[in-house]
Amino acid sequence: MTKYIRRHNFWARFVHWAYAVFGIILLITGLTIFVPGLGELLGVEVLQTSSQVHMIVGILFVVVPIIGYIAKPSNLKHILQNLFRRWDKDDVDFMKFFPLYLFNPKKYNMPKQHYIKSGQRASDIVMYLLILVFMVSGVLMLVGTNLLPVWVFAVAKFAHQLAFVLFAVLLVVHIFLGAGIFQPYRRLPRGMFGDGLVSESDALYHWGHWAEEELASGENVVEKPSS
Amino acid sequence: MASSIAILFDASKCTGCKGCQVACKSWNQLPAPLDFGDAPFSGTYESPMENTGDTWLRITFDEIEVDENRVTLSFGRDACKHCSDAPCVSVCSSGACHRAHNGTIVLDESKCFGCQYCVAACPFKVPKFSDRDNKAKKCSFCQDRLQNGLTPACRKSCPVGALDFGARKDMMAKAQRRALELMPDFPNVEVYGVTQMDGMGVISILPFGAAEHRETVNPQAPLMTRIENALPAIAGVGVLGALGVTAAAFIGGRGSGYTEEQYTYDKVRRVTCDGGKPMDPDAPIVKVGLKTENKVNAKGAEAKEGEVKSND
Repeated sequence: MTKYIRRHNFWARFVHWAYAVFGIILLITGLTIFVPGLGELLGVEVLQTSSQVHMIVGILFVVVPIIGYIAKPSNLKHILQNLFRRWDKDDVDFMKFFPLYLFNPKKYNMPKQHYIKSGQRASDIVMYLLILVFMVSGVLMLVGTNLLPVWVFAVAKFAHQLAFVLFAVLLVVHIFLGAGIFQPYRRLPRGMFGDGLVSESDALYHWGHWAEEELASGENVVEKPSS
Repeated sequence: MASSIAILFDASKCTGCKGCQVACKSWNQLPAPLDFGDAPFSGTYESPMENTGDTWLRITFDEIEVDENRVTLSFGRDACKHCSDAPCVSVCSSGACHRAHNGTIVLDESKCFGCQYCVAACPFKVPKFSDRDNKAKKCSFCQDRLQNGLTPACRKSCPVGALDFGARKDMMAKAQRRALELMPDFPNVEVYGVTQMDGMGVISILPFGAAEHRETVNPQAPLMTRIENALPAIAGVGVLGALGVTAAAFIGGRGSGYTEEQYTYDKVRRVTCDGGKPMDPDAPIVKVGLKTENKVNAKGAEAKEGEVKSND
């Protein structure tokens, strides 16, 4: 039997996958407009469909996660508390050594981490800000130039495209780490893909402080045959 | 590429009759607002007050004080300038906004999907979005008329010869000659459209200078548009860079990791164990290797090489 800790509840996973699925659709449909010549190559019918799908999914991207937060408001509180928690020495050291650890993980004993690693906290803040930029600028672009001053539309469009560039780069890194392509992270997808559980060993390796608190309290700990 | 043809607008001859406006609407079958209150009086002869998806050309009216006792009107021509350096073309992803063989800028409505990027990119605010069919619209330089050997509808309708049409180089020469003629009476006379935006398909003779005829002085593609044009390349480099970094990290991370039972928590001693043995809370971050690296310690303590067991 192996001890597991519940890391992400159903609604947290629901919000994550809503962002992920809609975000990937938006990324693909957005590419047809963003990359010059691609739309022309695909043809106007594809471009028109892609643009309409982009608008509809854009609305879902805003609305569906809100449903998740309404269903479980404590998740939003939890996210905000973790994103903006004070950085301690372990957090700073983690950030300092992560670039080195990334290329040679065998060589480093990374400092214990809280519920969200300091590096991911920094990345998540940027991600959430970008999502906010996408939402606000997307809505403004949807309203259009007939109801808004052209400069507002132009700024929204600029922000939308700039956010797209940053988001694409962050997404590559997020998938590399989150999907477990990086060897030391290989069992982490279960926390989001599966039942939201992480094993005691995984939790202690990745989020030492959080895991110790959870294992000491035993509140979110379950025992199951090891996978 | 500058257009090979051009319209010449001589504001010194224009009487503001708006015949060109009407001809443009008529030829292009653009509906006018006809319901009561659709076009309220705005205190000026200028009407409408701005171009729309259904108005591609209009004449602007501005009062100019010639001297203490005399005021005159300066007319401007608000329509697509058919720029050589056309931001509307560079931002159009569907190819709807494109350069025709004669160098003028055409918006092919069958390809437009209503993104409004051209509306935002134009420094003259020319393309307009039409709610009627969710497409951008603008002056087409009457390509259909040109293809049949006719001149643009606006030029055809001008009763006073304020509009001319022909080869661009001829129109430029004509404009320069006319400007020289006007110079004694209008010292601020300006020929507009020769160098602006790398040359335009509409050359204007503006007796009172560009600003007084409501033209944009020193027009340029918006900075944001220029940056946006570079963003796909920047995104490509960024994503490739991220893929390169992750590939290097993947190679560096091979063979590392831990077993699913390796780390456990001893609830009694309140300590994390590695393989059943309590872990050193003062373990240095860097496990082995250079002496200088061994000085770095998670708890700030000095650590000796080999003291710490690998947790991989």
